[in-house]
Amino acid sequence: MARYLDWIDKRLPASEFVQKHVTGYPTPKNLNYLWNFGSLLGTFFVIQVLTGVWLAMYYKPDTALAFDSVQHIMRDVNYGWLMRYLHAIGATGIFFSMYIHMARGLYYGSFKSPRELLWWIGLLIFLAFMAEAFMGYLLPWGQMSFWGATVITNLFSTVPIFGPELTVWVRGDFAIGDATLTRFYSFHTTIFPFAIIGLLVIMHLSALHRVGSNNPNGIEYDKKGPAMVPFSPYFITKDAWFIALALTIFFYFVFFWPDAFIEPVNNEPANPLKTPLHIVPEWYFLPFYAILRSIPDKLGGAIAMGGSIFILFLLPYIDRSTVKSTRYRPVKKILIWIFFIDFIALGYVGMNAPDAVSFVGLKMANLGVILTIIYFLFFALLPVLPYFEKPKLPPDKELPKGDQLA
Amino acid sequence: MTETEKEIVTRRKFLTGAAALIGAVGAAFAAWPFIRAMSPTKDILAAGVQEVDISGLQPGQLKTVIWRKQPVFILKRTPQMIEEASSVKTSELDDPAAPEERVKEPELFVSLGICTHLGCIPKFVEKLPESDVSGFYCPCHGGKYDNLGRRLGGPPPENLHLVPYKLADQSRLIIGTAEFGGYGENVRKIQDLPPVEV
Repeated sequence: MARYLDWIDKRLPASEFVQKHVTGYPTPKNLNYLWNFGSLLGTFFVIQVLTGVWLAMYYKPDTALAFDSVQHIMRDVNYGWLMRYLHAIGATGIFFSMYIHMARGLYYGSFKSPRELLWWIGLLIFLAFMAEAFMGYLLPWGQMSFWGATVITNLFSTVPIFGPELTVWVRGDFAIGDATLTRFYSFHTTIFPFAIIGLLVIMHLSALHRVGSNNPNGIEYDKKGPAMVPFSPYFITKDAWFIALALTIFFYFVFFWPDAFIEPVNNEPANPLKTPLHIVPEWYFLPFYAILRSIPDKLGGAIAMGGSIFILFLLPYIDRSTVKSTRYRPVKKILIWIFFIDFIALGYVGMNAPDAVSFVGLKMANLGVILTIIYFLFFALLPVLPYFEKPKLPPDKELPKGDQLA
Repeated sequence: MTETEKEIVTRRKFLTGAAALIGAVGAAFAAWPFIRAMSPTKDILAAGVQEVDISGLQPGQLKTVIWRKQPVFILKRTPQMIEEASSVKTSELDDPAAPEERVKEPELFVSLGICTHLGCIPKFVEKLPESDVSGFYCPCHGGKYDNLGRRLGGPPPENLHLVPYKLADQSRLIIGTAEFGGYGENVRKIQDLPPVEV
């Protein structure tokens, strides 16, 4: 065996690559379970690619055939139902893991120097996945597919001067139609997953392996020092265990509650003449949808929604404290938990009709305005914090008890 | 570095820059077919003129037809509806348009059936929410228009867009023109519409 490996290694740096990027990667030994979501994301991405390729064998991107071809996959194709449910729930898996992965970065300051580029590439992956999920959602050609795509492509019409032309160009027709379906299918199955997301993931990992993993203390440990352990066997085992746990939950949904995230109205074929009473996007877009709706002006709403994502790119410059981890920042700790709760509350607002009354007694539309203000207030306060916030311990000098590293 | 070497380096820099520039221009030209290939195809643009039979349309009735894959509202207005719309003060509207700018014949209102907010299809209601006049209500985000498609409230930025039309006779309505080709029917006043040839 070693003989064959030698033969390969002389011609291709296989062992060297695995040693450098997998088994030997120096990993801080104090990582908590929030650091497991990156490898989980990779796992879900592989599931999406595999099931997606298999679904594409039977799916037909044609407005006359699309809806029925999905039914065909569900009823006639061997294990077609499994492929489809894995793919549909897999999207939820990706976004669930991604939100926790991003929240972890936000909490432990993983966007701060020297990881700015790592953070930005990650945000581009987030945007690419949003586009990927949005385009994929049109493909079943149900009512919510059609109307969700109508509402979101209409956002292009807010662009000044040539907005309407741009909208028609994006759709390839005056309304969402065959041209739109086929181009979304083309992008969804080719450039986006393989070129854009694939390339960005490689860049994300390359950048990670250049700067090294952050850790709950937010301290840059010496890569060869005692705070590090090699990735194998320690974190390979931990990741494998965690992936098994996450997939157990995932498969619970796939097998016992597969329609948990499928809107019932999407089981009705797309009808361009009938708007569903209440258009809701997939759960992972709800907070941003709530921000979009809370501004009572079309262009303003689109700018607020775009801004709510764009502002994340500015984080390395907005959050000016020299202390990375929120563990040691008493004021940011309070603010960030308000922010997390605010984000979930925005999702709750996005899920409900604007005129509905929320459980706090306010109309959803009004509650949405308040939550949107809180969302942006968090980022507005971050640059001010270092002026009065006293970090609990200067973590680059001392370590708290219990976190002492041998 | 000698003078000759410096000159060579400057020359090389210039040539590299020039080559990169020409390359970028070439790439921009090469991108054009790809951009244009995503624009609507000829057959989509050609779906121009359409005739609708409106002989069976009763006063107060709304007919929705598909023109260029988009819904078009044809509303036969009752005297009460005409009265309701004329009681709206034009100057108080966000997107001001007098009734005669919205219809050719007061009894017939024709417009795109697409909410100018985010593209849902509004519903025609006898009484708009929180008001007692008839009009179009968009269930998606609560946009309100009067029965001439003029914005009364909610998130829509503009009035419902109009479409070019002509009554050939009492029962035949012609929608669209062959010339009215471009994109984005950003038309809100009947005077701006191109003439429809029958």
